[in-house]
Amino acid sequence: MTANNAWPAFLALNPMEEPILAPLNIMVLALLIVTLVLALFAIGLRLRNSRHTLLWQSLHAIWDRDILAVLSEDLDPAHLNRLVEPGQELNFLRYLALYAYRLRGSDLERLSTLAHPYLSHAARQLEDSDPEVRAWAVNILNLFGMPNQKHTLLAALQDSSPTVAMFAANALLAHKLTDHLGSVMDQLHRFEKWNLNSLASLLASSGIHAIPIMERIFLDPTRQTRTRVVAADVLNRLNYYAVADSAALLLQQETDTTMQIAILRLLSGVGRERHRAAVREQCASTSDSVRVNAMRTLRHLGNRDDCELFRQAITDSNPWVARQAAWALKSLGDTSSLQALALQQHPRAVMARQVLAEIG
Amino acid sequence: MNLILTFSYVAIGYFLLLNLVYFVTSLVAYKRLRQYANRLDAYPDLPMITSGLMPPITILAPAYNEEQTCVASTRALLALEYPDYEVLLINDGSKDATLDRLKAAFKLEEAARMPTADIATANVRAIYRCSNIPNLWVIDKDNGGKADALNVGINFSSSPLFCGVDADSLLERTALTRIVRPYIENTDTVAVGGIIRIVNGSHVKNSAVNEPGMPGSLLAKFQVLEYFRAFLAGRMGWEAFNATFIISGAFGLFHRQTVVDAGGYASKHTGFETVGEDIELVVRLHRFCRDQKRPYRVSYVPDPVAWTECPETLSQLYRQRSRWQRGLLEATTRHIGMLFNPRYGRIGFLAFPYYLILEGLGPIVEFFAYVAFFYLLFNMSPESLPFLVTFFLVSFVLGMALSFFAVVLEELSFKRYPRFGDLMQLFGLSILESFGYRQLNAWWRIRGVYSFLIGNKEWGKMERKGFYRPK
Repeated sequence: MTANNAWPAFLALNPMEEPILAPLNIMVLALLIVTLVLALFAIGLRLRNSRHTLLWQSLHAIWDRDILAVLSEDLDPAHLNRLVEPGQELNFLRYLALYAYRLRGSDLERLSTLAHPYLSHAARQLEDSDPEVRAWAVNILNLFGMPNQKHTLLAALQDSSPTVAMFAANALLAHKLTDHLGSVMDQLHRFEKWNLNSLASLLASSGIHAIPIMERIFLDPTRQTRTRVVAADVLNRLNYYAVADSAALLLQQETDTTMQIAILRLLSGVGRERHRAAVREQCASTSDSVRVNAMRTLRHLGNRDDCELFRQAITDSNPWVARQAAWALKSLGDTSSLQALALQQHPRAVMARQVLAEIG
Repeated sequence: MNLILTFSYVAIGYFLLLNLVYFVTSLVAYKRLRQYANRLDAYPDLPMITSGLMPPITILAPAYNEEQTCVASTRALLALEYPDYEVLLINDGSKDATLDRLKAAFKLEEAARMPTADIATANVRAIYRCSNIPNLWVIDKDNGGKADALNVGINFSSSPLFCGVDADSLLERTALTRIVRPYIENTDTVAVGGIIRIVNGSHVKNSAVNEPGMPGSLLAKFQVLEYFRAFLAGRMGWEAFNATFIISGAFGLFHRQTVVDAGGYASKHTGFETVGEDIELVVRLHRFCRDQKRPYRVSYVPDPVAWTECPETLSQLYRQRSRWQRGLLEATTRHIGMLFNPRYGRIGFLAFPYYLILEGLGPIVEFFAYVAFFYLLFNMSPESLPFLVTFFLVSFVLGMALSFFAVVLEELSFKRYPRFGDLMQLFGLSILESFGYRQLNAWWRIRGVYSFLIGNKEWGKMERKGFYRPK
């Protein structure tokens, strides 16, 4: 080793005598090989992608010729099926899915007939280790395979991936297979992070058959709040007016603000004038969110007797409460207080001008 | 001489650690991008768009002296495929004809609009509404900087989510539909970032990028490659670790109430002026949510694209890079208490140290390593030369490999540059950038560190050419 304290130790070494250069050289070589492999991989991907695009275009060209004729019943589906060669089954299902998202009714049924011979290929994808591939398979079975594939989808409800389970739930409910609503509700905890609107919409898609179970859950204080909130939203979406009396009663007893908000939202859809008193109580809540929702609900249920309450609320410290109250006054035709406010040097004057200028 | 010895070990340690992080994030990004590509196959956007379940979004687009691009950008924003959104364009006291052009193009009329939050901002002069496009609003305000303009937008937005964009960005039509997904699937989501791509060289028609293409200028080409590394490898990798630290100011979706609760963007009116307001907000959201023990998630989606014009001259690029560096340091040093603080989990132990130490202060080490390299090259004993050359080769080939990896990620996922020649160009750029461009970048970033140390708060000026160029 050359003793030269002027330089970092490794730079003072004699490379001809020291073995430290060898690993560095190997590293360079290894990195060069990695780089080369990456370059070849990128080129390979590009070629694969180009080939895939060309293949997809050529398949489209072949199938496009007949798909519209099949949809308009001018051609037997079996004719188009004969054009699908072995190995093209999944691509054909992908192709049909492009149309399926845009079609309904008998057109969709004809697509399902076209897809039917290949659904077993999609079902096999449910064994794939990638949850996204499994989700795709569930989606295809939902589009083309219901109700025959319901047992496959029931099994998918237990899939380790919440996304796959969500797709399966969506499929079961969208096809009104309400016998399985209980199974879906049992899985609800797995979708706890999902947007409540999406969940409620999903459950409501099963139609009026969902009402008894949703009402039971909504009124059951032993159930988790989130589940009850979703049930309330479903009942609202299904316009289940019969629950309004129980909801109003519950509102007077409930102390949990999340539940209070859920009930107020429900009442805004299914409530009646007789439920005003319960709602008015909540207009004095200390929780801004409860007050906003109470004001919104009272806007739907209220009458001119509530104008005084709305007039007071247009100067509420919370802008959302104030805006709901202003809209309520406008819809009740009591705009004089808004007009007066609009002319004042008041923090809510802009809001008053905005609400007065809004159409509707 | 011990100093040189110590420095050389610091430099090698920095080099190894930095590249290890890049390598790991690239590998993780590879897996995530494959999943994401499969996912797009599995469930396209259409059912979600038509379901009526997408939450309303307010797009906040601050504009300062954007007369060249503001009308085209606004038209692009109005052409997005999303069921329920409005556009709030905030004219931040432009000195050019930005407001006049908007007034003329969209027939704006003065209107009243109620604020819904009271984050401190500069004075709002007037609010306009488009007479025939009800979801377009323009707010004219005194100049207060980008963060201040965004805060004005937040104050006047009335939807649960807002999307901050640069007024000179072009969002792809499906961008909102895709960026909102994490929020629908996980209501704890407080912020989502999208990918930024470079529009220079692309053909723009009807307010949309019609045909992506490589820019003509070498400087812009290098930036295409850099954006690949930053967005496809870096941010995707950090997202996989649930440690997204940066959401670009050019395109990000935020939960409005959480941002209001956290105090809005940092601006001179809120008591902390920074040029890195986008980074600072995300760091503060992490800090705020963890301090409040709120469940939260900051997410990143690699597909919703915002196209932006990148600098094509050295002086403009220098100003941009210097500003980014300064912004990063301002944002991280403001929240220095998060560094290695167990309360902040993987943010405090992984993302924060990486961004502060390796990205924020790294350029100093990098630059002096270059200086040392050339000094040693001309002053060392001839026997030791192979060492230096070998070390340089390791560094060069490693940088090249990481760039190639980023190109692979692009090919694997979104394939926006369809020409084979573009792919070859990207490989060539990966080799070329080590000879001058990286060094210049290190120098600019050092200047950014210096600006930070002397407390410079200027933004610098970016001249826009506009999106529409002859094909």
